[in-house]
Amino acid sequence: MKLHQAALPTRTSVVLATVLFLALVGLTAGAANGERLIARIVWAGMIAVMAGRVFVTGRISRWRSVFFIILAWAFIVQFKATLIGLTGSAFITPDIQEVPYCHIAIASSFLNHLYQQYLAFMSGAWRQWSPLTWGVVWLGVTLVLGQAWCSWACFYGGLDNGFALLRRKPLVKWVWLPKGVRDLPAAILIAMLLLSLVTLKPIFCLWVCPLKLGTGFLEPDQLTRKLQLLSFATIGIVFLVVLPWLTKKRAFCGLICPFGAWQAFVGRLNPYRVQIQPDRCTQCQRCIVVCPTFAIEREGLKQHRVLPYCNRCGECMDACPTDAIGYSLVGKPFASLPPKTARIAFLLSAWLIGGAVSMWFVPEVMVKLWRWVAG
Amino acid sequence: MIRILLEGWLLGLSTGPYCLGACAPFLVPFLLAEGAGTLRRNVALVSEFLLGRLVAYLAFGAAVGWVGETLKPHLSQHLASAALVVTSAVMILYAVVKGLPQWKLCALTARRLPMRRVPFLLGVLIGINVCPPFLVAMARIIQLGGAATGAVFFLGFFAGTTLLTVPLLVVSPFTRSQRAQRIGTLAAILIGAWFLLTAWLGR
Repeated sequence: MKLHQAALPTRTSVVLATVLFLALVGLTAGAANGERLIARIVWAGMIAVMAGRVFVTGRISRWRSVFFIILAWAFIVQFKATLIGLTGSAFITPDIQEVPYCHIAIASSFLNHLYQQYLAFMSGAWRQWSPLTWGVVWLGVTLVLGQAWCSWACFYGGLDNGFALLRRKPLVKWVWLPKGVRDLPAAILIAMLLLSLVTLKPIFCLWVCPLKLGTGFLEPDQLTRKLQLLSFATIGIVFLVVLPWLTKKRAFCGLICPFGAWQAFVGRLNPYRVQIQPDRCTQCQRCIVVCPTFAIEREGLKQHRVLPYCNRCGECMDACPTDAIGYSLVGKPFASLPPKTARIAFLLSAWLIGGAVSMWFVPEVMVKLWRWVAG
Repeated sequence: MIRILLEGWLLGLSTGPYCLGACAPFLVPFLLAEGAGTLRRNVALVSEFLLGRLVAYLAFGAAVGWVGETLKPHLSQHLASAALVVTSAVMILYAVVKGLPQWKLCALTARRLPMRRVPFLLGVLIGINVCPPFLVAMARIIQLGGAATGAVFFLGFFAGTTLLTVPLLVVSPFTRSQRAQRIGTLAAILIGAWFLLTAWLGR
């Protein structure tokens, strides 16, 4: 296989993969013992091998996708297994009184958090700042990864990424979006923020999230519940499964997810950028065709610009015939950086954060599978 | 009268964050979609919106005070549902007409609709959307009685809640961008549709 220009020497790749392995084991293995410890070490090793392949081949997307899809499905298995442990059912039942919260829900009901903290502060209970704990985690991730969360650590992304890879070529070619449609996630984010505030409920969870399919905890009114389930099913089937499978585009991430818009806005804090080098770009538009989240537009490409929605998946870099696209640092064009510095720094950060997130549930699922296989 | 004005003002001030939540879903997408560009123009738009709200408050306060105890709570509930439906419809119509000026039907509607008066209209409609603080104010007016008393109480209530609406101008710097205007238009349609749905479901 022809090596990509960004490929690193084997020795350097092995050193970087080893550093990653040691960091992941050091960060996460301390709290485990027995078979869980073994599972964590094995999974850290697998991540190091996948990262090593990316370094040594210079191609990002294949091994990132493998990791990303495992992460997503392991999350689903662990989520459902935990529910069975809690309620005896794979579905959320009325026994669970609170809506399960994830990063998408936190972003889309952020104003509610602020309002709750305002109330807690005004009532003297100012120590009840539990959401702030997650806020610190999110801020850390945003500083390190920014928008890359959506292609390296998010379980939703792993789902539509997986369905997008089921076909070698798209059955339906979908390259352009009507003007303004790419901004739909930002509009959904604003709508969710404001509607959640006025109703004091997480509207994304109650009306949009496909993972809530099969829930029994929603509104008691039958018609409302049916409409909610219809909304979950439509969004899940159309945007997570059918459109990605038909078009190889990550339709949920690109057209629905409010967290993508949130990260596109606050992700500017992050130092990494994706840049197109004008002197190398031939305007072949291959990057537009392969970008799974519509983050490169025809007009933008003419000015060698990538939309802030880009989530650093690396598809365009792998596809570019002249290696004109690459990672860069904010305010630093390619030419001003030592070769591959930004790329190595970004990939190490992404594997480290994505790997650390996956350590929460992938080893657990490995243990469950092992017990199931061993009887 | 000063005491009643002060009482309304304090009620508005203490329940203002809730009122902010009620106004923001309509006002924020509107400001973004309108794309006024300068803080001065955005202040004018917000002022027009607030004027509409003031007119609604004064009229409603006077009417409630006049009718007094004969006004039953279910009447206000029907009024609130109807106002919500009309507000949502105005939002959607505004966003579609604004977002698709090239469509013949939209161009025609734009000529017929008083598009420049949309903020005032939204303010009036939001003003008669009955939220919990509004109900508290109404209950107090029924207790006090009298059209003038009702109007003065709501004048104070308006002043108290308005202070907390001012931070919505924070979106002003973003409104110049065409992307922000598109986002605002889409958000206005989504929010309008959601309120229409909830009004239909009677929630």
